[in-house]
Amino acid sequence: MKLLSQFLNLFRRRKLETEMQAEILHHLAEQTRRNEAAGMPLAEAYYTAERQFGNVASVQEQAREGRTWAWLEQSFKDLRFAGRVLAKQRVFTLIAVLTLSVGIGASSAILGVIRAHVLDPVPGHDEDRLVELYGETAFALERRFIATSYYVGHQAKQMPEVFDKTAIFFPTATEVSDGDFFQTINGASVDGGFFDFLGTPPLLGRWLNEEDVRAATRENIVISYKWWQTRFGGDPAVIGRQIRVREDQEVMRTIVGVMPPEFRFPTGMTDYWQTLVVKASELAKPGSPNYRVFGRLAPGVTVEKAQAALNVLHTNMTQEFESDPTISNISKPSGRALKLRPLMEFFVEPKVRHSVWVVAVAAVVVLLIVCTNLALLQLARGEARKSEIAVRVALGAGRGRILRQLLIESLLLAAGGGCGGLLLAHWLRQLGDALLPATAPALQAAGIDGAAAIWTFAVAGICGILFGFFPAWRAGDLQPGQVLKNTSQTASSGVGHRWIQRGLVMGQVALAMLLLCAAGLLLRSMVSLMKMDRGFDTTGLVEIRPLVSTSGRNAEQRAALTRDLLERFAALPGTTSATMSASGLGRRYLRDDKPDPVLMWETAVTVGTVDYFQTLKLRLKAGRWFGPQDDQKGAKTVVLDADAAEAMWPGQSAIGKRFIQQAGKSGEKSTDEYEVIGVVENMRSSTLENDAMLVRNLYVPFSRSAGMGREFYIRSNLAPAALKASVERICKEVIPGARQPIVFWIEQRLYDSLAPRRMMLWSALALAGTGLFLSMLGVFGVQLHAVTGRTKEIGIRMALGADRESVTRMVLGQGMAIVGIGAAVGTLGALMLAGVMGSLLYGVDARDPATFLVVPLLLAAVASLACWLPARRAAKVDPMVALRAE
Amino acid sequence: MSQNKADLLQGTLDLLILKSLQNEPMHGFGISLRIQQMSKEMLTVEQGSLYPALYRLEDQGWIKSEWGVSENNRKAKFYSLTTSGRKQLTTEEQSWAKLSTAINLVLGNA
Repeated sequence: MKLLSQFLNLFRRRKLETEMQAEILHHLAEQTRRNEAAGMPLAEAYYTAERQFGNVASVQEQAREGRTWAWLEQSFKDLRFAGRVLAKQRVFTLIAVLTLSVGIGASSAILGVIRAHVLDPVPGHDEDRLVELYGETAFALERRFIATSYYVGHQAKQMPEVFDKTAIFFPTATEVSDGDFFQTINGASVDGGFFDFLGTPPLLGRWLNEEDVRAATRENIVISYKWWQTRFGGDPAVIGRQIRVREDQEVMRTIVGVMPPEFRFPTGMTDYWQTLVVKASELAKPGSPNYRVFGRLAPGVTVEKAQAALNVLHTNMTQEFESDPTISNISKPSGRALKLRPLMEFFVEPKVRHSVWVVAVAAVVVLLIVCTNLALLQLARGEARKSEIAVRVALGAGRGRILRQLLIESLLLAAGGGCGGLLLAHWLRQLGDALLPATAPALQAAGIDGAAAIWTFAVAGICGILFGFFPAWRAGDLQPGQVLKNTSQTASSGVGHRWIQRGLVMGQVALAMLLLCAAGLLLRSMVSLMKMDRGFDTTGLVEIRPLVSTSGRNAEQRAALTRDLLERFAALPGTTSATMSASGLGRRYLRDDKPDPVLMWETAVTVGTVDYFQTLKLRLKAGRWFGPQDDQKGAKTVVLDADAAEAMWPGQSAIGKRFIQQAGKSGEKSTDEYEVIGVVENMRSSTLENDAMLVRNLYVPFSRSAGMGREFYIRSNLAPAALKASVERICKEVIPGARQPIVFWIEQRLYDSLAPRRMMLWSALALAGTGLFLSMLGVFGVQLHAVTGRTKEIGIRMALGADRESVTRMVLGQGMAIVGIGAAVGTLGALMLAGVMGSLLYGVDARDPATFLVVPLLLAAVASLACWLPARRAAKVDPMVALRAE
Repeated sequence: MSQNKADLLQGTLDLLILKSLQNEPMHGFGISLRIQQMSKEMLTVEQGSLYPALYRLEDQGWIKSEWGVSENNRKAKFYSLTTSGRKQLTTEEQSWAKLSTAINLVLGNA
């Protein structure tokens, strides 16, 4: 009750004051009356009454203190006072709030991204239990392709004691009609458990469920928020609407649900979800590994247990299906061990997560630099306000009171910075989301919500205390007598004070150095990546995958189709060369006399007029490429790439070596002997430098392979839109019932795959630049302050014979010395910590000498400018003026 | 009993105020007069410490206040005992009795 009334009294202050006044007046009036009655004249009676009462003011004070929380009232007063002070010093306040906003805003934005995408990408779920099942496989030009067959997913479904929830899906695309114009959109075919697995409730309508799957008509679809907005203008009556879709034929689909905007699954480009329809054959035997399977471990099941169950499944599958002739090589289980990986990795590759953390640390470092700057400023201001504080101390303010008031001032600044930071973070959010590629999956938006705002202000508060506490502490630590008497400037910067300033500046410079070195390393990595030797020429090279389905066509028909396609592609205007290949046709085990066979991926390539070698401009390392004699059936020559050759015959030349093939790891050996006639440089078409799956390529001429072309490469100088249109037209003409082909420019794809790295580089550069700028500002400020404080000393020096140059040199030297120490500490720190960044670098050693040489030089150059300007000011001191002035 | 002198005086003042309000409500000035009267002029309350004490007692909930009209037709704040105040009065009277007995014993045996 007491506390409550004390709290309420805060607001009733004026009323309580008036009441107390009235009460005391009444008391005095009564006493006066009595005194009068005792014979005193009125005036005397009143004065006597007052004397008898005691010290009115002190009584009021006592009463007030008991009434409410004095410190809270005082704090309010301090707050108002701080506001007035800051409002008067507009320039300082503006600079302080701006720099704080930058630091806090950057940290907040990064933190939002981390929260949504890295720390907790799957909200509301027990993340440890969510896994993805896959069979390790390699496919064509991609190093790693995480997928498995529907059969495996179906088997996982039958193991509820291991996985209590499963979801199976695969990305797909379709053409949607908008009147007469068909537009391709990306989507996903999902099974009944998909939406339930992820748990995000739909914005409108409902999910697809088991019933839809059972109906097997694919009639119902769910659409994405983005598409709902662009195609249907956000029409709330979209549920139940039908759209025309073209797959093998034109059919109608009904929209039954819309997902919320933050649901970007499986990719950021997924615009619709339809049900999965599988052939009975895919349930009985493993089919193509095109599916993604997610699972949730049942309670009490560990990852090891689940993996063991998968191993058992794999063994069973191998036994049952490995020698089954009806299953294509790709679908065979051997060589494709079933593995589990945490679902988190689906959202954020570990490397990306690592890079986000690095950027976060950089943001915090910038924030520290900001706080240091502000601490310096506050120290300087504290010096300037010495007399004001001395008066307050003389009037009875305790040290705690002074501390509190100055601290509140700092906190007010910090709050301003927090607001600014929040705005900046909101604006940066969109940029922050681009740290991850647009296609990245996500289940929640990296936005500024309540929690983020609270966090922002908490950070701001901490900053305020960081930069405000020490100056406030120092300010309260003075002798009022001395300060009030002494107004000259010689005593203004005590020795201790200077050392604190210098220390802070050194710290700033060291931190800025850290950032610069990190940014430098990342920059060199990027340059290395972009200049990476791919092994082939990527300019103007286009890859086309017509996705010719195998159903209903025998081998001859397929071969004829693809030949036809190749001819037409080659005949397109602007095409300078064309070729065809079928990569990863099969896994081949090659052996010679050594005990273990070596696994390789066979790629059938065209030879002759549409030559693979010439089109892609591969480079020969040894031997020769195929000629017309190798293109005939019966020839037994192959070309290997450098990795393959090294694996088979390490350290030797592979030319002329012979080998035989073997079916499977321990299968029967064939009797045919093959000869290696050439070795080419490795093709590196992905930017990922991880060697998770070495794609050792074995090239054979196309005519000797059984199949049809899968990938077509043409080097063209047509404009992208025109080329795409032509390719689609050709596909439609040649292939009845064609699906839309996949067409992409190799260069573009490589560029896009570097997008996250690029974003990180930009972030690092921006943060490093800000850090450098702020720390140089600190250096400049401190040097300037030092010079103005030492005007008298400089005047004396000059009077005693020093010329302007030596003064300049002295100031400059002292400034650079401070910078030098800071830079040295920073460089050492960077060298020690550089190892942390190791996994983010490419082609650059973490202790790269070039970077660690150039960056300090750069810092020195900028710092010399920051020190030179105050030095000039020092040189301009007129000794006559300086010595006379007081 | 480890109260220092100030506390002792404060506690005593509280007791006196509560006692003086036992029979009827009274305003601040009247309370100081009444204490003087009741002690047969032996005690003069320092008027300054009266009001802080009154506010403190009111915070504790032992007395409550009301604006009313005094004998001289002036607006004045009247204080009266609450139920818990009456209980507190009894408690404090007992404590005081115990205290004075204890002190007497000590003095008697000195």
